[in-house]
Amino acid sequence: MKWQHWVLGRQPGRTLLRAAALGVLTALVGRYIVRPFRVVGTSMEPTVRDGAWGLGYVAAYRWKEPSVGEIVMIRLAGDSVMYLKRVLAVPGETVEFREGELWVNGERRPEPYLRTNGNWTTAPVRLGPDEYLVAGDHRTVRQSAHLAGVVRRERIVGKLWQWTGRNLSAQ
Amino acid sequence: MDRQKSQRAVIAVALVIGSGVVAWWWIRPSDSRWIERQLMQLCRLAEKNSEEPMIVAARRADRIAMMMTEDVQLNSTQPWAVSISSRGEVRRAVLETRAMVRRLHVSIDDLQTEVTADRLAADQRCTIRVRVDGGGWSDAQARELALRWRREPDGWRIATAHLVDVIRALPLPNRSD
Repeated sequence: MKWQHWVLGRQPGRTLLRAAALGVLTALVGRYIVRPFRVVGTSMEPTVRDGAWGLGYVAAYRWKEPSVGEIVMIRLAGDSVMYLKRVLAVPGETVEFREGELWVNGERRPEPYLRTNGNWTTAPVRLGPDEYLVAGDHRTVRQSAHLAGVVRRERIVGKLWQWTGRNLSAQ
Repeated sequence: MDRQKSQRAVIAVALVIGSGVVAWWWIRPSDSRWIERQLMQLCRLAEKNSEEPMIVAARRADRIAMMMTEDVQLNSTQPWAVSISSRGEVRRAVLETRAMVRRLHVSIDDLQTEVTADRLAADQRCTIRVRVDGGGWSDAQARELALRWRREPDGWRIATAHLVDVIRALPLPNRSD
């Protein structure tokens, strides 16, 4: 009987109840507050590397809106697979790329998190009341190979909070 | 002893009935389950894990095309520009793609299916992930896919499909000639 005591304790019923409660709590926290995920792809390199593990704060935008510079999680058909992109501009701003540089409302917006700017060039676009400009940090790929552009607010479901391989001195 | 025997008999009958219900549910799935299984089968047919003879590729292309209506509309702009408007074009496109790639892996997540009230059509949304290895180049993409199924005399078929623009690309600058 020793191994049963070791696994379940002296009161198996209470142990099982505690385990069930812990399971429910973990599920609730993972669903509504903090969600772990694994990064697949190089879109956010060098900031977030392919294969890194991260924690997404899914309650981040319950009471506030996304801000410029934040790395956000963007929902597709559901929550299993999401995009990870950086917010470059917020609703109402007029945005464009000129030879890799981001221009917002006619002024150049510095992007200190980029290692190289790339050479993207786009026409100016005014963002709607619920639209954000997002892009990955990996800009050296050609424009057509990088998924970047305008996303609706309803698709932004959280913010990147922590991740492995994070270079704290670069933040 | 009699009480034990009757208890065992009750449990056995309950198990048999329960198994029968599960088997009936599995064999006679609802429309949405049937459609979801069709989509999974389509993904399995689309996959390519190694070099294959032309006849195998052709058979797969035929089976994939037969899962669509005769006037199927398939459209997308990025990352793969696709505009298909018939089963024949599906067959050709599948054959061309299979000839170009060495490996192709398709997976589906977050699948949602809604059958219309008249049960003649169904709308489906999912996240589709495609990984391609072309022998020297590789690519992996995730997109949201929207499908419309239609009930035909010989079963459910895909009538339209398009990739949803979750992130809408910025327009290129106008060029004056």
